[in-house]
Amino acid sequence: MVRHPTKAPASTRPKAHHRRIHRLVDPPFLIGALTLVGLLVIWSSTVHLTQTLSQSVARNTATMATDIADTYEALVVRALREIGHTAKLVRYELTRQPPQAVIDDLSEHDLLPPSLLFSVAVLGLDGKLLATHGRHDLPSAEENAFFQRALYSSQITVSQPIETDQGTFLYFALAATQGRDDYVVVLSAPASYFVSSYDTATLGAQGLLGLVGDDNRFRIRRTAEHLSSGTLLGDIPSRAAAHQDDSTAPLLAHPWDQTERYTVVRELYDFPLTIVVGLSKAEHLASARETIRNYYGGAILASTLLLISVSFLGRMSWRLHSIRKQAIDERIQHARNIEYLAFHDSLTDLPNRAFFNRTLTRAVLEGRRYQRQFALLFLDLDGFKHVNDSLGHDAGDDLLIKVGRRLTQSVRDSDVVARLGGDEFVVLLPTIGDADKIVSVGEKILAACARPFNLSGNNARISVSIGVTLFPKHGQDEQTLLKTADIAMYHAKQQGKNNVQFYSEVLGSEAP
Amino acid sequence: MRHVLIRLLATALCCTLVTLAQAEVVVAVSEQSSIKTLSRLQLTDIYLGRLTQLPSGYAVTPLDQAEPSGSHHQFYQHYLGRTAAEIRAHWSRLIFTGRGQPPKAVAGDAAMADALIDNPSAVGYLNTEALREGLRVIDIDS
Repeated sequence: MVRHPTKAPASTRPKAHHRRIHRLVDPPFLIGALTLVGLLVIWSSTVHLTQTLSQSVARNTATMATDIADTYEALVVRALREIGHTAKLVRYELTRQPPQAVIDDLSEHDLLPPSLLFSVAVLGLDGKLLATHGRHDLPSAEENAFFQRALYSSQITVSQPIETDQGTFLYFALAATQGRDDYVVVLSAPASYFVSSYDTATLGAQGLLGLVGDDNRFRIRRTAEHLSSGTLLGDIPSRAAAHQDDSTAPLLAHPWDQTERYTVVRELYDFPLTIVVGLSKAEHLASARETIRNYYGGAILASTLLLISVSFLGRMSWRLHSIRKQAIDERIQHARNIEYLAFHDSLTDLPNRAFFNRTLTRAVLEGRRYQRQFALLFLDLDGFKHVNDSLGHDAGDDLLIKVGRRLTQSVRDSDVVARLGGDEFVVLLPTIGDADKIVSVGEKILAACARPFNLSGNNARISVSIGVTLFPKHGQDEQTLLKTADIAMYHAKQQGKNNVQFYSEVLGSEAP
Repeated sequence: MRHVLIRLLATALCCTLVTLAQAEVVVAVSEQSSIKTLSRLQLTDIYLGRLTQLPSGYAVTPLDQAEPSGSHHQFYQHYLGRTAAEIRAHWSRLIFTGRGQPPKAVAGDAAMADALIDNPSAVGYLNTEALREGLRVIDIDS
């Protein structure tokens, strides 16, 4: 039963592949890969969530800006229509009554806007004040462009913001030239009135409401409680117009306060005015930032938990692995011990009969194949029984151990010394052809065993009878070799012991 | 220590007297009015357009004086604790968003007296000097 270590190239590839898969399911690799996948999932989903959130906040803010602009536009248009309506009412009444009577009449019938905020005045074409309701704080109206423009227009005109001791006002003028005399109806409203719908709940502290004239300047602009007028709008209307989507407002940087806002710019249909509505991007994203921070906190927590549980799992797995490895090692060691015991003589520690039989079988097979010859020496101790009887079994055992040692020392490492049982030993010399060399080995053994043995204080002398047989000359198989060696050994005993005898055909024919 | 206390008391007394001296504007109604008393909160709500009907079921119409009259500032400052500018901002917002109209304004104390006598459901304010027959001063509980 010789195992041939043949190497088949075809079988190595699947084996390597198998080994790679095996390494993939190795606990350290598996745990590491799972950790990486887990971390990847946690962080990519966090980044994705925060991006989605930011985008949706931006979209909502842009949509909200257009919603606010819709409402604001409606409010401004209605306020302007009321002003226009009042002006036309006064103009109509002026065709029937003198100015003061018109004002008194309309005031009495509650047809004029509340004087708390608004003023209504009738002026001559030269700017002379003829009648007024409420405070008309404009000493020389005729010097203003809106007044002059009104003279040549059928439409209502709007003034620049005009500072009075009551604050900034906007004036509106309408020429009344259809009656007997020519007048100009002038109305005023606080500029702040047109941005009074500013609500911090929707517009925030950085929002923008504004009314812009046809000169591209703010008539009034409000951010929280801050009011101002006169600022140039710059290229914001054209940039807003370039934006295609009507449902969302474009994000534009406002140069006057360096704030980015989702901005709606809308020209009013009937009036030479434009409304501007803005929602600060930074302010609206701030609310989302808290949530985003929470997301990242959650991701860090989840990663930490993952790493903790993975390291715990790793430790458990490593411990399990080492326990299993230890168990396997012990089993292997145990198997080795059993094997050793099965093939070795427990007394002398030399290979036993079973081991020797195997060795001999192998030697015969190899000898046949490679045309080699080898020698088998069969040894039997002379006088062992005497030692055993006179000095005891322990001394006998001791003698066998010492003989074993001397035999091993007398031969080369490649030679095999085995104890077959009792006082029988064999020596296999695998690579010896020359008979002289075998004799010298035999004599070396004789000399080694001839020296006295010290057995618990007693000097004992023994000798050895050695029978030699050669493969393939004296035997072609194990049984024949053992038999011929045994015969040769008996011959040595007959020759007076303590000598070496080779087997010969003659001896074979003499044997029973 | 006692000195300080006395001085503090004296200061407090002076302040009260000054306030009383300034409070020459009173809230008044027609003698025919069923309104006998109003709380400061009710008065505030009436003048800010938040209350048009009293709990008793009577409709109430506030009357205002035009801003140039001295009584306007005194009334709002003393009874409502608000400046004229704050009142303007309040009505500005309500008118602009279409949620209300300010009280009708009369030219001065004398006009107020006339308007109150004409309208039994009206509430108004005027300087004590302008009080005359047909008007009743309303106590304002704080």
